[in-house]
Amino acid sequence: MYESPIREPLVTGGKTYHNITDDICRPIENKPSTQWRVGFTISAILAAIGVYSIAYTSFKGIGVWGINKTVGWAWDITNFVWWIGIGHAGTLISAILLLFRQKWRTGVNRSAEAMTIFAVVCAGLFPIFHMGRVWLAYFVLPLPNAFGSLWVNFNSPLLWDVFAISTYFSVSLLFWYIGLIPDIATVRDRATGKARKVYAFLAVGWNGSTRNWARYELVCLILAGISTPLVLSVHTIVSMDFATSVVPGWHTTIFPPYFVAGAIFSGFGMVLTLLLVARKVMNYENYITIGHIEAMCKVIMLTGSMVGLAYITEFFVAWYSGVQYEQYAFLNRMTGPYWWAYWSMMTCNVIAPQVFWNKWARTTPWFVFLIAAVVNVGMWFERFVIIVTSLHRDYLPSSWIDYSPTITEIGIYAGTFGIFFTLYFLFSKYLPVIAISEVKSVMPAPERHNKEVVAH
Amino acid sequence: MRKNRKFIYGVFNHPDDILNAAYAVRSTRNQILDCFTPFAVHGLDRAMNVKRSRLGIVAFCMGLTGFLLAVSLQYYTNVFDWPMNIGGKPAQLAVPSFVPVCFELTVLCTAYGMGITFFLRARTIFGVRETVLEARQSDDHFIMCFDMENKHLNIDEVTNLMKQNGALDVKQVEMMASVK
Repeated sequence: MYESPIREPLVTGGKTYHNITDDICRPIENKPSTQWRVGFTISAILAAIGVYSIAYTSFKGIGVWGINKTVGWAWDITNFVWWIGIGHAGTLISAILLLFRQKWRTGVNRSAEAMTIFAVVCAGLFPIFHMGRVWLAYFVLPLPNAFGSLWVNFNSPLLWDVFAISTYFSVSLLFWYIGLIPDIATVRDRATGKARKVYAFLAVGWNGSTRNWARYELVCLILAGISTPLVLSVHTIVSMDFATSVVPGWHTTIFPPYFVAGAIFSGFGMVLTLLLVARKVMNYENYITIGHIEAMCKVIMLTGSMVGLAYITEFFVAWYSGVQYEQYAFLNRMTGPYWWAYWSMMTCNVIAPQVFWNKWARTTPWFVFLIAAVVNVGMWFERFVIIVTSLHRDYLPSSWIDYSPTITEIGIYAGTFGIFFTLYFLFSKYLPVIAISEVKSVMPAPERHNKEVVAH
Repeated sequence: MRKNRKFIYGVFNHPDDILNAAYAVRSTRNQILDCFTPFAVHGLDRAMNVKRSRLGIVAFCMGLTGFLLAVSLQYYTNVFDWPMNIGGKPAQLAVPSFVPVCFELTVLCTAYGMGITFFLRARTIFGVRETVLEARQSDDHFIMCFDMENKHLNIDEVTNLMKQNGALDVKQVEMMASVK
């Protein structure tokens, strides 16, 4: 196996193959730690609050939310777009970086993909429960006329979104599971008793045969190839939910690339938030190295700058277009009742990530954690600014109204955090958090007894 | 499918060793049954003369199916069965509007069509019992396995070849297996 003399190793600490297996299987084989129990309990309580708030909304109707006739979309869609965006980093790491042969992705792809799936689960809840009569949610499916007088309208971006999000979720799940199979087999081969039966079932009889590895790698490559345009299409279509409308501030052709960059930006913020904690708590500093963190910081800086460019372009075009409504929408964002949201967004998304030009900032975990958290907050505000500030003062000044969330909306949002972290805690306890087989394939190979290399 | 089989296999602890051994075996009349490795050892499939997988062709066909499904679904519902009346314009194939769903269904069918074919072809299906020669083959050992019922197999020759190339051990085993 070729080892570059220049590049830093992706796995540090002089690990052998066996050490890796041990390190990554340990949390699965040992009893959960106190930290895990506490974290899981808090998440489960939050999730319960979310389930309660969602149930309350379903029984009472969406009148229990703060939305009104003018501001028809608010926290719900903000949170939906925010969670969906977070998911994008996982696919970027697992698919796009695979196509670009970025080997450092192997240390972080598993948990990033898990994050994608859990984030999409959280995201999906919002539009579904925003429907109000959620038991009729199947109306968005292309079902025959017997359910009503019409088919679904394929001219509507909202329907495209149904297809995009469900495809994204299904394909991500398949990609994640196929990636997990060899590692589950590793866990199986070490397990005994009941656990062995469960992991043997999940490992679908995988035995690492070379024929299967060849198929497996081809399948992963093709999945990466189709997931790459897929992930770009998902946020493009989400942005079209806005861009195809005639609302000032939404009606912009810049939205698709701007949303995709923003999604990757926020997603990497969340990946870093999660992994900086995970590497510390689970002692994975040798697998998720400072090099990994630095690489992700660079992605944040790049996408953050793209987002900043998009903000400024939008602003310029609003002025340049000469459309008064458009101009007012942007002026209102900056100086209107929600000025604080706009300036939070600007500070968190445009200014904060620029600190990553500094190497110290990129390589100091606590500082990166701070900036990553700031990015998450900033991206939430971005969606809030786009959605609420554009809607609350529309063409008809007599309909102008302010919006503030009710306790139920806050409960649902907090609940999605609960659901997300509950799933993440379960994942970190019962499945290998780092792709064992992939990490082994990119690490420096062990010393050989026979140094002779046969020419192939 | 599972029957009693006799295998002879070598245990390696380095990917380059098993690769060298595979090339050494290739130049003889012996046929490797399969190798079992904890990760994909690149080049091993070529050394074993494993044919390139045709799953790519499957993926293409599945994607085409998904695309045609999407076109026909949208055409049937929005043009044929209940023509959309938008500003009185004639109902027709609204190509730009139909692109996103065509794309999504193409991707969905490609992924699942290929994924399911992969599971079936690799015989990795829920409920399949694993054939594991050594527990450490998914940890840090690399196994090269020969079928002892193969008439062309020269046991001494392959044992020597494997040992020369750094096999830690060469073992014979009789077990119930579903190895092809």
